[in-house]
Amino acid sequence: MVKNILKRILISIPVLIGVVLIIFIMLRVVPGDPVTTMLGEHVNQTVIDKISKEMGLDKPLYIQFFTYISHAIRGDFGTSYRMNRNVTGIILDAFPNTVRLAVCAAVVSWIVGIAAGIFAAVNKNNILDRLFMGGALLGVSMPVFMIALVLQYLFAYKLKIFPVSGYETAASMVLPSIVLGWNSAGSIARMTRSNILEVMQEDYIRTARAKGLLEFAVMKSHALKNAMLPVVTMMALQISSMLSGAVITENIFGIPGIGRLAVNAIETRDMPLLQGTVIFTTILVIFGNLIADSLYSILDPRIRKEI
Amino acid sequence: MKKKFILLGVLLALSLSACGSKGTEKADDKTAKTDSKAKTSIDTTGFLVTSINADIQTADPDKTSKDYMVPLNIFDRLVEVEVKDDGSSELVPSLAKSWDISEDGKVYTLHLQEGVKFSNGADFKSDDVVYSLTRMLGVTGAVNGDFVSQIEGADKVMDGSSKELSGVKAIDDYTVEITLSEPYAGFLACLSASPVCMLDKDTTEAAGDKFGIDPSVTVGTGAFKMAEWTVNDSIVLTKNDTYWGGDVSLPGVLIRVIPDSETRNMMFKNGELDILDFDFMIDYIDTYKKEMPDVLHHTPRVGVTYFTFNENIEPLNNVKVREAVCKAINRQEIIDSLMNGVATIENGIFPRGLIGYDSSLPEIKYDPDGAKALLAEAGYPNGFDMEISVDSSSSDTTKTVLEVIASQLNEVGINATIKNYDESTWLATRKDGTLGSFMSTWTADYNDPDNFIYTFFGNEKNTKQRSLNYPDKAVMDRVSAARTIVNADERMAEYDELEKKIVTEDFAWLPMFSKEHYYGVSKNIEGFKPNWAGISDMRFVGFSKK
Amino acid sequence: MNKDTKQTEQSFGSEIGTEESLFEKCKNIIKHNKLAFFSLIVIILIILCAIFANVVCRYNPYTQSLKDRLLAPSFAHPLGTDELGRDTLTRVIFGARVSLTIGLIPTLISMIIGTILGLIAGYFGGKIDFAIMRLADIMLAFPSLLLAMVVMYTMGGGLINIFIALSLVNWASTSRVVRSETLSLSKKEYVEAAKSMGVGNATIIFRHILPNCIPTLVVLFTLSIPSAILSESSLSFLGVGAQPPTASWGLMVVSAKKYLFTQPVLVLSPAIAIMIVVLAFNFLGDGLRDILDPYLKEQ
Repeated sequence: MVKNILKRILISIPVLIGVVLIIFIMLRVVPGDPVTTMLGEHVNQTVIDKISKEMGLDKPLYIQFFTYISHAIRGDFGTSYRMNRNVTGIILDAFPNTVRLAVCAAVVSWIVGIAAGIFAAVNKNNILDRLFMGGALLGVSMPVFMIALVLQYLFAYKLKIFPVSGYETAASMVLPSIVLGWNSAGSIARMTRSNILEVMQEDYIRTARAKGLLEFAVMKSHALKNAMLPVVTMMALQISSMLSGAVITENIFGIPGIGRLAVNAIETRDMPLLQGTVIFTTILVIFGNLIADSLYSILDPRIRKEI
Repeated sequence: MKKKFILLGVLLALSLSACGSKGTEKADDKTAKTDSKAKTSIDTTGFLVTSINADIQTADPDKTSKDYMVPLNIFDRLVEVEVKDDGSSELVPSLAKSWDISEDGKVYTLHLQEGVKFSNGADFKSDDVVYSLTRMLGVTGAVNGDFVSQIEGADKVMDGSSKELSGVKAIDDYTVEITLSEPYAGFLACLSASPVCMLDKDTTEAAGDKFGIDPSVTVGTGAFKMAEWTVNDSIVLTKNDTYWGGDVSLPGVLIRVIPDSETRNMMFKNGELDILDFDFMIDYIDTYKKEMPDVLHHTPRVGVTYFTFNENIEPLNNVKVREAVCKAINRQEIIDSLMNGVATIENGIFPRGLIGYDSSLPEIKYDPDGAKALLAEAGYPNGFDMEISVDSSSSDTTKTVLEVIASQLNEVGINATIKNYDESTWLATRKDGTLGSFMSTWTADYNDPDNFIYTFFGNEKNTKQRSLNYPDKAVMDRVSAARTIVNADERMAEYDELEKKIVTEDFAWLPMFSKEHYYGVSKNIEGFKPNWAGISDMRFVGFSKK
Repeated sequence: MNKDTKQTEQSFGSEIGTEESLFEKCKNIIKHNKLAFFSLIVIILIILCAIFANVVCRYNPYTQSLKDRLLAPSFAHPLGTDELGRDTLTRVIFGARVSLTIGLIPTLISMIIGTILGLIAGYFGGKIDFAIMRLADIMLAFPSLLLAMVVMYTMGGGLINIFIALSLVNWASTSRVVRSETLSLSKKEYVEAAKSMGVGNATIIFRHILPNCIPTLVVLFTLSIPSAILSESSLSFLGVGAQPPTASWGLMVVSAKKYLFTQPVLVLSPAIAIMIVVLAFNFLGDGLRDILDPYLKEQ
């Protein structure tokens, strides 16, 4: 198993390099001179040339790329044009906020999603099932910012239970976590429900039932564990969509995370910052997938050999 | 099989605890990281809380052309602007307690306030003035050199050929003599502009690139100190206990970065913000007028919103076409329906509130038929294609107004389409002189007509940088020359004439309107006084919070 | 829903053996997938509305009338008017054109790219397979919204660029699915047989493998449309999506959200339109999966 995981890690390396390469090329295609963008309007050409040289922008693209990679390996993603700070530092400051948001949202979506899924499966086709599945569908069919707006309006503005924005206190994390987690919760609930229902049709469950075991016991000892496997993989795969969703959520709730940085970088055409943010988030996704794969192979011995 | 469950449970529990214990974990985490600036580390109880919609790029006044909220409060200028009760404003002494101006209007002798200390304990002396003015012109990334470019030798510092600014001399510790390359009546007003801040020479020099970025080295003589800056989250200003200008009532100011308008709106209504700036939220004013009129404050914005013509683009180089466009735009309808009563039509270059404002200028009347006739006369009976460019970071209101303008132009047969640019491309294209028509607002940096007319019609470079490409050299030479007219009345008369020529004869730009700037101010704030020019950034020095 | 699935499967089993008329079959399918069928009707109706928008609507979606701005719903304007006096109902209907195009075209493009690459990777295997799959890994590693934002950053806003951004973002997952399907199909006896008879690769791929992937692709296609529509609304929220005066539903919600308190119908109509279409495609996709999967399993 350790060998498998190591193999996975090895495969991740070319992927990572590919990611950096693609982003690097895409951002270099952008028209306009980055130095002019960086210094603004009132600077003359000699200064611009001097700084271009300092930043190595006058060198061929492939040399720039290797310089970038070799710096990146040492943890140096360059200096933000607009903020005049080290990109790595900016990202590391923002990172904990995004992680905290994503973890809380993940917890919300797992707990709510799995619970709702099980509950709906047990109460198959009655009013509660429909209610839960309706809620799940709402989560996957509304633009994230609409959900945020409505929740803010109801729970922060009208009922004043939670603050409108912020991220410092537990209370202020509730709304952003729900907003970000709802979508995943919806998918998890739907998947859990249909998996459980499917498993319940299997012969061994029927046998268990026929033996006179109580519904709850059947559920606990047989149905759940088999139904949960695909859900576990799914949860890990949600990391990517969580990070996408975080871009919107952070902007609405004013959370200074990585998503905000990405939007800032785009608005101000801050190439090093954008590059750094995208690469960093991508590393997170790759890492998440790695964990998912490993977890899956731990949980399900059948596929251990296949990886 | 059971193991799996336990594993799952452990996993869930782990993530839960990671989530639940974040309150305590957070603190550890932050103390462990020394450079981290969590807002939790300063007790902000009793602080005034306000918001900005995008984080500042730097607190260095020499390197920003828009983020003055922090510089206005942590630094002082040599002179300040004070708004009197009748709404007019005047220059008052600040770090310069008095000044003498020579007969020929070229030499300014400033007598500095004595006993002023920077917040790090250093004394404020004439060296610092020399340093600050030189740095404005010469520091890499300087964008505000134009404010003091009339000083002798400024051009040499700007192009890097000299490190010394020959026109500024420290006579003794508390006297500075400034010589201008030619007389300029607006110079003192220039010194009051937001970016002309006095910095501590030693600290600033030592700080290098960290100045304006790292709060601990960004020191000034102002009423507040920059205590913390968490990127994209907040800036904390705390009271400067050694402030020379008297007692400061506020213990500090918390400036939060909140990009979303709805969020800001709800935060203010919930009491999470003390001041709400309606600049980007004009649509909300109506509701506030109905529901909570007593929190609304407003102040005239000494600025003009204008619509431009790039005279390098066919057929906008034809004066008849420009006049036709002017007549095809119904400014009153735009104001009535989109501006929620916060705007008034302007007809010149100098807006109301500015010295040199001329209320007698003829109004450019909305006249679609006249516009069609003019187009036919100019040889475009079927109209022409016209690009209106918009900076995507501009306010919703600006975008909507442009949509309306485009549709009004379509009505007289001009095929106007809106093109979106991101902010930097928009700026870069404008600087190239190739941007299509656009709408923007110019707000006074200092109270002098030169600040407006010179920026747009001062010389070939300026008019190109604004993508106007105004071709009349004779007029631009007169604009330049008007700076040096020492007699105030003569000078204003010249500005009146130039304004009339550019706007009502050449139709080189279409003045749209000037705005009232609205703020929501919570009831526990006293002494609220916005910036004299109505820009969003203000000094909090006289404010108090109950 | 799952109960329905099982029944469908069973009924299919019996149907194949007996000689029921096509009509009977259809009736049966519809009977067991009422929700999917209903969704299909809704989608067809919306598509028809979008195609015949000029006929259905009384107003022009772009003509402004400032004196009629922000009107409450009335007989003349069933959903009121927006901040420029344009009829909201008209804009929602015309918005269907834009939003459905955004849902369909990029999804179609990404499906085609993904299918071709997936077929190649699965059929030829080896280094090509490795290369294509690593490329897919790379694409999948980007959070999709971020990648779309970067594309929009590089190329600027606008509809065509949204197409490109969303197509680039979504092909990878298709190619993975198609690859694995191709892998299992190429081990089937009839493919092996064809190979041994010297039938050309192209013929095998297009005659034997691709047709068998189609059902999966149809399901995948249907289920991918909602996410494209929602992605567009996110991009619009961040200011890099559709640009005014184009009326996409996402952009309409974004620009009207400041009227949530004063004129909720302005925000809610495009939001509900998004919801209906997204749900309809989801239900239809689920239904299709239930109908098509048994065939796949049998083969």
